[in-house]
Amino acid sequence: MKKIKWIIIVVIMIAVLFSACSKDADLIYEGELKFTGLDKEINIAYDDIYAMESIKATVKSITSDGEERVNEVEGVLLETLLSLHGLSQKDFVSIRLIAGDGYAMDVPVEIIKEKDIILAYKFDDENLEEKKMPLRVAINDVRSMYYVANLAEIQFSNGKAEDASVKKVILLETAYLNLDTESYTYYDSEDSAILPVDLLDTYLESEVEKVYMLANDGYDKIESFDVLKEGYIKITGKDAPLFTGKDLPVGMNVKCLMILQTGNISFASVESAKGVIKNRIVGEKEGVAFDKLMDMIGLVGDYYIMTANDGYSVEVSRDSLSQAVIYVMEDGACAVKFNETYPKNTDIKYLLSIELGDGANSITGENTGIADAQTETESDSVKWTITFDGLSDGSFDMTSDRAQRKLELVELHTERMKNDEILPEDWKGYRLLDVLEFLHVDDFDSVVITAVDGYEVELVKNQLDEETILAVEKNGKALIDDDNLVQLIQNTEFATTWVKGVAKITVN
Amino acid sequence: MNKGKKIILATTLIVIIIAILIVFLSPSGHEKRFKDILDEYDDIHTERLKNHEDESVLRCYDLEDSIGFIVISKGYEDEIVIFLELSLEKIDDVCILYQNESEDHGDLVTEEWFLKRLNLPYNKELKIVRNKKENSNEVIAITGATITSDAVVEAINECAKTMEEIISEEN
Repeated sequence: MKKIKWIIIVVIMIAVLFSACSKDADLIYEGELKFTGLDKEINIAYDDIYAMESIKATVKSITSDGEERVNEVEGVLLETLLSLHGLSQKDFVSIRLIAGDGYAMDVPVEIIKEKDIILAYKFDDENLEEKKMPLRVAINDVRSMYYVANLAEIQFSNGKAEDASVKKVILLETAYLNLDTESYTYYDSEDSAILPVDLLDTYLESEVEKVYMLANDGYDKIESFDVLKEGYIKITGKDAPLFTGKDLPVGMNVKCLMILQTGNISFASVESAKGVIKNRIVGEKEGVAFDKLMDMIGLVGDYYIMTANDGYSVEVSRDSLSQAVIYVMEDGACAVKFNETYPKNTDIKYLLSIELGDGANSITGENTGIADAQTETESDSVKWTITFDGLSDGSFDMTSDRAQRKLELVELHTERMKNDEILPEDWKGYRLLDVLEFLHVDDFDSVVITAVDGYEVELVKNQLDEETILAVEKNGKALIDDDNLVQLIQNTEFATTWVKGVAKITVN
Repeated sequence: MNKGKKIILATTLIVIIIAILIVFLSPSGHEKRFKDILDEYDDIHTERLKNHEDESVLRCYDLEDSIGFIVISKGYEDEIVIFLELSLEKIDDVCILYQNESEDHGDLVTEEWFLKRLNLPYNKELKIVRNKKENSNEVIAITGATITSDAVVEAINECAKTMEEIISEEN
């Protein structure tokens, strides 16, 4: 009997010896998870979290490469931990997850309100590897940047969301001119960088707590000012503008920063926006479509004041933005160019900022210098004549006066493609079929439209429909160019059958 | 004590001793793991300064005008094995013999542009900095791989200390 007892002891000793080497030991982790930003700081021992009733869930995340990952995770809901203290994650507008190595990520309010935040200690039935211990965050259907490992602290904020509507845009490429730069080594290249704190000090009047950053690949995050002031914005070379930091984990970098917004001011990089907004060409300048850039940033109004780095400013209407590009000059600063119908003084080099105006000093196109509001009824006063040939009784001159008296002015909305870009336009004019009916043209095979410059387009009968018009107004403005008082428009994807400056229509 | 008890006690002792041997006295893990690399260098460099070798400085070769070291350092993911050649004043050559660091970050440790940053005098302890170098003994870390970069610099510092010992012995 004693022999058996000794054998059992030996076996137990061996088991103890080898179990010390086993990887599947029970989860133990010294230390506490800190909850800060609350009325009173809460500390919860990791071991207590491991001992709590756990949940299992399948979570999907998207990596920075766009790869989708699915994991089975096991852990405790943040909501469960908060409920022990009479709190709910929905009480907060911001939750900042902070790792032991300083990596920090703000969870935006949309996620806080809608999704479960799991503090996981098992991924795919395996305990976390040592450097990811003691907990790793898991949230379903979000970017993997929120999957903060080695979780040390959760900072809560229930401050009211501020009015974040953009009132002013500052173009980063021009803004750099007013800031000191430092050399910055990035992988194998020597680049230049500015300090974000300098940028904010120069262009903001008040202190900020948080900033919103959006990269041109759609990656976005909210960052605290404390983190921002420790960082750099690398302004040259690969991945520029790159938000990075001296002592920040590389995971907190933002490559190809496109928008940096704080309060009502938005800093925008035209260089980064090029990859997102389709290019537009005006004259010889290629850049981002001015109107599209403003739409993307969210600076929307009837009038815009553009200000150069030297303080020179010009006000233009919202409509005019569709005729302009913002481009990056050879020296790296930004400029704006309007099409030739706008006065030269609307073209601004070293464009620094754009903000909403009241229209008091707005400049419009056609070199008139007259505010848009004054051009509303212009089409009535524009005189034109189109000669109709091939009629049974010879030819007939259709004049603007006659058209106004005898024909119905109709509206037509078109969306044509140009340079891979959709151009929406609103027209007013007279249906060609109405004109032919007025001229008693009962039957015909085709019509030939001839422009003042001799250009011709033939349309067979079935190509003429209710949406084939002789337009006299475009986007609320009369066609007043001498060589284009009337334009044939069809509601087609491409403008191949459109004719500018219609002078003659021959009925066959 | 009866015979049975003695056998059991003896068995227990043997088991414990074997376990201790397995855990603590197994042949140097590094020697075994990197045998191929070490053998290859041993074939080329025959003059070893064995009394300056230890668990991290695996090899110390007398190369006449310089000293060659094979040194091991803990990186972010795994151990890094480095060959270093130190002359009297500066680091002449750094070559990464083995690394298994993370893709697109730590694995850049083998890149020429990083290794060139290490061709420095070693009279002052080298120090890793990020992005901006202000002093001659500073080495700019690989972006996103500070721990890996630090592992290499620590290995160099370790060899520099050994080098000082060798020089003082010769004098």
